[in-house]
Amino acid sequence: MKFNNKDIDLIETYLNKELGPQEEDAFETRLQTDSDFKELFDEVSILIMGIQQTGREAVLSRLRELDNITVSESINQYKKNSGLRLIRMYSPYAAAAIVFLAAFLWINPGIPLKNYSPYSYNTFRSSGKESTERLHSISGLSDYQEKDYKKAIKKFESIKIKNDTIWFYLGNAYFARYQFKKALSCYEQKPLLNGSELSYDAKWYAALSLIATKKHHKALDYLKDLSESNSIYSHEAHQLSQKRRLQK
Amino acid sequence: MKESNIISEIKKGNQMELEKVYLKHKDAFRSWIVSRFKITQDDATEIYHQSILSFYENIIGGKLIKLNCSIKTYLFSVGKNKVFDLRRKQNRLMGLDENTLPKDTARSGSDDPTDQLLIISKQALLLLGNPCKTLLELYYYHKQSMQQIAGQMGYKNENSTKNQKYKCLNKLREIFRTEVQKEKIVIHEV
Repeated sequence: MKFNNKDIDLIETYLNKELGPQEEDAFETRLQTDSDFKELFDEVSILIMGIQQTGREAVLSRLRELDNITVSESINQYKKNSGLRLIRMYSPYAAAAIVFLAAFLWINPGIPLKNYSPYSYNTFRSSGKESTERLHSISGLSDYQEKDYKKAIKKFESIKIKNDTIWFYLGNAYFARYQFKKALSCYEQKPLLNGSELSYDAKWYAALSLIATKKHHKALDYLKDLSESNSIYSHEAHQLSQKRRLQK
Repeated sequence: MKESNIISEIKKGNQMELEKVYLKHKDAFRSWIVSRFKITQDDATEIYHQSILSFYENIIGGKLIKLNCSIKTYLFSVGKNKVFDLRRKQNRLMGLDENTLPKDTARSGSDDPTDQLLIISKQALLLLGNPCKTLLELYYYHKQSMQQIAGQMGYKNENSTKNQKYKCLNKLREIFRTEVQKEKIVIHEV
């Protein structure tokens, strides 16, 4: 059936239980008598259900990520909650903690560790240029979803002709295993960086990989590019690029 | 920030406030629920996730606009009900094996055509990619208005966002149909 915007609005209104009694009766009669409309209704209903479930899974995934609260955030939280009282009580330990914190901040260019978490499977996206390789990659993606990155890498690597999606997720799997150089080589595949729907994501993770390998200058190029974009990374990229240690 | 403002911020799409709520009550909630109901830490964590999700979905769905108690009390109350649900589920299943379960309960989810279609619709969404995926999720799950989506995603105005939504849904439907054909599932018989 041809896609009709008015019918879509009507279906949404029905699903949201916003139709009046008479309109609802008319809608249900139409479902029984108009097979094309019934087909559209069934499809749209299941698609909306899929979208909602995906959204719910993404929120849950984010909550689970929060459980692995970052080291730096924990330190900040600890400092905020306990204040000077504990430092006074345990001054030798406090001094050691300060030395540790100073060393940590010197090593880490002021970037919260949360930025190093691997790309969530629940936000899985394709590059928009899928080929038959997609079918072969599914098993690797399920390993990625189960966080078996080693297995995912093996499967992705075994694919001879990799498309952008596979390069991206191979990079993510390496990234999750802190193999930043290998991750970077995947993110920097030209077709992935240029013209792919995943290009912003690839740039963001390429920048993080570069920071992890202390190539701040090159990371800044990506961050600048991202901060000037309309992508979801623009704000965070701008903030990250302003970090003093990164500017040096 | 006042708790009443937290709800309105979450409703506006400020996910950071939800995360703050999550972190603020996490430890107290889990300690309370483990000691009060003698459940495992893992179950307590899962119940906390589900409680936060209910809190969020009630806000975005317009069911929770204003609280007469604190957010903490609300979450604890939701959590308590989730524990009872969990217990009921466990009691129902206790002592039953697959052979004694009703046919519908025992069979694997993947055999159910509706489940299969749902899986395909989620796969189609993944294949659709961004910005369409984000737009559809913001509209259908996060219940954001066209105006809010336009602001977040940089569309010109509400109308162009709405048009974009139709286009995305149409594209999604095409991908879905192609995938369904591959699996040879007949939708209208489901």
